[in-house]
Amino acid sequence: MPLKILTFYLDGYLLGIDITVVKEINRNIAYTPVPDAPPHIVGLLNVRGQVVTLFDLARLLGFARTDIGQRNSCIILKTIPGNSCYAGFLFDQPGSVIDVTDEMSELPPANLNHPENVYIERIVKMNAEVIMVIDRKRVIQ
Amino acid sequence: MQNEEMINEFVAEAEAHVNTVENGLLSLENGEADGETINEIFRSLHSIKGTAGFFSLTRIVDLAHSMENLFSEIRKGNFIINDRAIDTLLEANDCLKKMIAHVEQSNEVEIRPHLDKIKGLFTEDDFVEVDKQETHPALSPYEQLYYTENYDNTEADGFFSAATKHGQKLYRLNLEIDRNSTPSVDKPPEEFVNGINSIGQLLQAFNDEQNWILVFNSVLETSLAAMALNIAEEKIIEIQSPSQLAAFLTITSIKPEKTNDQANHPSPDVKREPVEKKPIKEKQEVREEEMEAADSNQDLSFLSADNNREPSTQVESKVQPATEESIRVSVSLLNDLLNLASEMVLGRNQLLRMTASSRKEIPGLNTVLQNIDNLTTELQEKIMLTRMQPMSRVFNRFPRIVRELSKKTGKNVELSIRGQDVELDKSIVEGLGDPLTHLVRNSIDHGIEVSSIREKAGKPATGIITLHAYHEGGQVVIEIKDDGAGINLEKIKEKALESNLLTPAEIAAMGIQELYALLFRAGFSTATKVSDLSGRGVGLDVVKTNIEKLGGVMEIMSVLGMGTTFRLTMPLTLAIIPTIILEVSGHKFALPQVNLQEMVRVKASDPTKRIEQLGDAQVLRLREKLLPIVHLADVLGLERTTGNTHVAQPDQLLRVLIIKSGSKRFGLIVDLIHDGEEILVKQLPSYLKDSPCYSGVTILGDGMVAMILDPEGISNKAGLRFYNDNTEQLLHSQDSSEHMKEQQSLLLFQCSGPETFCVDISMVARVEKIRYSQLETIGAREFIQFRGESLRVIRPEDYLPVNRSSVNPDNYFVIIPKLVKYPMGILMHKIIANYDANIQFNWDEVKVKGLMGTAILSNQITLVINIYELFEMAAPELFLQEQKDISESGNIRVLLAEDTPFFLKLEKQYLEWAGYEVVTAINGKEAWDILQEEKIDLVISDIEMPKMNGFDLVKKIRSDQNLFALPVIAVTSRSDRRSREKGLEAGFDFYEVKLNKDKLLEKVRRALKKNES
Repeated sequence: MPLKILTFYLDGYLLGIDITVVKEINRNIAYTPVPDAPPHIVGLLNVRGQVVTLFDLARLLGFARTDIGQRNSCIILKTIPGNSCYAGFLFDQPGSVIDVTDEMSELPPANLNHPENVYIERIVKMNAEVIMVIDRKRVIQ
Repeated sequence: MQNEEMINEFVAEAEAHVNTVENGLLSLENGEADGETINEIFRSLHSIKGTAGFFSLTRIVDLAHSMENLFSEIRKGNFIINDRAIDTLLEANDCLKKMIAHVEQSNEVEIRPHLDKIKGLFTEDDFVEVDKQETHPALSPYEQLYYTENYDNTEADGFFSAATKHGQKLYRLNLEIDRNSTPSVDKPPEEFVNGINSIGQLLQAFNDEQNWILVFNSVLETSLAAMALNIAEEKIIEIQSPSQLAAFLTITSIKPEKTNDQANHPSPDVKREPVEKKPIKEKQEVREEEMEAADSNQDLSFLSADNNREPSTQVESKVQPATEESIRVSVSLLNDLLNLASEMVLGRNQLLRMTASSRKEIPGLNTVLQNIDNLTTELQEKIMLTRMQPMSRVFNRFPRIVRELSKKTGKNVELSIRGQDVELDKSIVEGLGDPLTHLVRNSIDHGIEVSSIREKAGKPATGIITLHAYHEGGQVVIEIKDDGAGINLEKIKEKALESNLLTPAEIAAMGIQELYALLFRAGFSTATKVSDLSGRGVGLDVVKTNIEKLGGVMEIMSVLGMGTTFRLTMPLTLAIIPTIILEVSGHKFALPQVNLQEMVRVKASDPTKRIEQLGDAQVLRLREKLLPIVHLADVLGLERTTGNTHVAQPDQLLRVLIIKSGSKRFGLIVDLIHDGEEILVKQLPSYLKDSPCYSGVTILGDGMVAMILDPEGISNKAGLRFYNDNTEQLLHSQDSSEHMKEQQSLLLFQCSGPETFCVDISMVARVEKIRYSQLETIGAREFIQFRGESLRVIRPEDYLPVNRSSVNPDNYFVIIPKLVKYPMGILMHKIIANYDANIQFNWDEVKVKGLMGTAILSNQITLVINIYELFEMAAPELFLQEQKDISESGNIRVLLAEDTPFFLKLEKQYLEWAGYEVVTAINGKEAWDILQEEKIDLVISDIEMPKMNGFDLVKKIRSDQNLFALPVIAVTSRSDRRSREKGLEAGFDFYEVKLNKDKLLEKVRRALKKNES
């Protein structure tokens, strides 16, 4: 099934997410860290009166470097039915929007056996690089 | 079934209808009802039936239908309603309610017993048999067949398009009839009319020789319609085009000779099942409108149709007030609006800030900004209003509850409700239901007595419970009042003793409110026997907790033998709460102010408030009570920035918030306390549900998100366990803190004798420690060197009638007083304590110069020294001259307004000493009253006073024609410049610090002189 993917960089990896689940991208955000929250939650952000929970995607994916200090751009996802709370995550640099066809993508290879790879929905083979596409539903859960 | 939204609409509507029915039934029982009530019930039942039929909720239809039947008989006067009928109908209505609440399962609910009972009513004697032929019932299905209106072509087009628009299909039902043949053919057409009315609407009916043609619309498919009507599918033919429809609708000429037919078809249930006919045209138009509007219009149209056909109805229907148009909006949409509005307020604030500099440069900008400013504020207020709901939403259920309870308990109880229109935030109105029910139950069960006892007590046999809601000072007060027995304090005491909660001594020391407070404790009930209603031990404590959760306050007032009033003070909205913003390790949090009892700054050097170490735990000693202390940073897993070490540094300042949550009290250490802020509470994101310390989130004025702290969660996470004993003590300490304003700091000391003396610390500049050898004697007088000058020191025992000994210890202490003209030191042997307390002075017992009176402190009689008099006795030569000056100015009346007894006494003494006549008042209000009646030459007023403060008093004096020139001096403990300026601005002639006798007297003289000139 062809789809459009929004790509972005996080810890040097190129990641992607189905663009239809993205609500907006915000830069130069000032979020509030929440002490005593689960470690994968970075903090809360006010977007026009809506409180958005920001996740630490790098930590969820098990990337070694989790220096979130400088990150101040985030992708905010649309809500999923049954949970009206907005969620988002921080990223380093935006990429672009690319069209992806079925032939281009594969399921995560078997040796990507991090426990965190449940968040990876598929791998897209580009000419120069591969993109890991994030499974939104799993991340939010 | 239809989509969910429609069903929800139905449920909401039907709920309103069953409530109407219930209230109607209750007023019928009380005899307050008139014909309109019956009509109202009938209409409600009919609406339920109609809409339920639309959704194929057959059980609801059946039950509503059977109830409706009974009412149609009542309307016609065939059946006279009695108590049993009302019981039966109420039960049936409850069943309806249940089915409506669980619509999906409604078709499995057993309704047979209700149907049988209602049917049973018909056979009773009350059922007055009236000759059916003479009555004029509403249209029977049979008649409906004939009364269908005639249409022309254009209308057929309209019907068709309207029907398609609503997803309805138009059908033609062909029924073969042969009046002479066997019933093997189809059932008579009238039997289908009800069926058609429940799945759609009958538009036209006519017959020719062999067939009856019924034209109707419905949303059902052909097959389903056939099933619903219980007829073969091929009998129902869909009408495909307007022209086809027109062909049927315009057949008017072949209307049969109906009178004959009617005579030939005496259907047995015709009379008992009146099905009114709605004017079709009107109905079609209405369909185009919103559901809600349609609902009310439908009722109205029905009403008018009904009246037209029943000129003989007993009561002429009143003209219905025009209902204001309304639409249903989902709460989440309103909440979104609320969010956006508050965000807009933030945006506006930013805009105003940023444009502040360029406002002058751009002409017209200011006006635009002001406009936006006002509009934003108004928008936010209006949106807040959308969440408001009238109290009637909760009050409505009480007539029923009171009825049931009074039957169960055998007590006669009447309910009076006032203030149904008072509006509160939706969430509060909803949250009030259970607590109020509990309180009303409590009132009936514990409060109201049985009739015989009431009559003996000279009260009317019927008890009255009043529910009253009203606005008061930006809040809403709800009173639940009964005229029953009142709360018996002795019983509470007994019970407290019995259950070993308290000792007799403790009880003896408790005030009335404290005793009432026992009722709020878990497991405390005074009901002599546990009843089905209340008194099971889960009582008022739960109510109180729930009320507090909603941000409310609950109080009890009771007069034995006269009744009890529960008073609930609720905030108007829950969404906005006052909080204080605090900071710990760089993170900002909001703490609801309801949970804050007091704020304490703890300095290690302050002996009255100390943090002590008990094992791992820290406790705060506050007013001789121990409070557990929690570092907020610890609880949240942050690094502490203050209070790090176990041994506190002497200058370190700790900020402790004393938190109350239910009956728990504990101290919370934070780094910084910012301002108070009114915040809009938002739900905690579901991802953070596992964090126990937060109850919600909010957005602060700077646009940042902040967490709202949950004291309950914090105390749980910190592992605080509270024992009853502990909380009880703290409750007491809380009581004493409420009187803190009256508190004084005293220095207790001893001289050579055993007596204990004290002076007010506000008069002490410092205390010096000296050695015996430093005392120098000149004549009979003793001196010390103090800051390079010689200072005379006196021994109080030399001038006062107290015991003395000639022991001379090596070390002495000298009190250096302040605010005196001629300083002298007071020599003492031993400092006993620094005492903060709410002290009851006894002024009258000791009439000795140099003493103000006595007080009992730490179970010891303590002599309160009057420093001025003491000094005067010690050095009479210094004061003689002065007194002479002053006494010349005799016969001057001074009004002294002061609320602290200590200062009142002291200042009065100064003034009397100076030869003035002194009139005293303990607050501004009293002072004002005195001014109205007596001639006063000068007023000396405290600033901080209850009822009317000094500022208000002086403003009042200045604006009075007779008094405006009166000299007024303010005395205060605030000596900073700002309050001085504020005082002078308010109209005081002078502004003087309390206790400075000489300056005060000088000001009095100056003020009087100024006035003369």
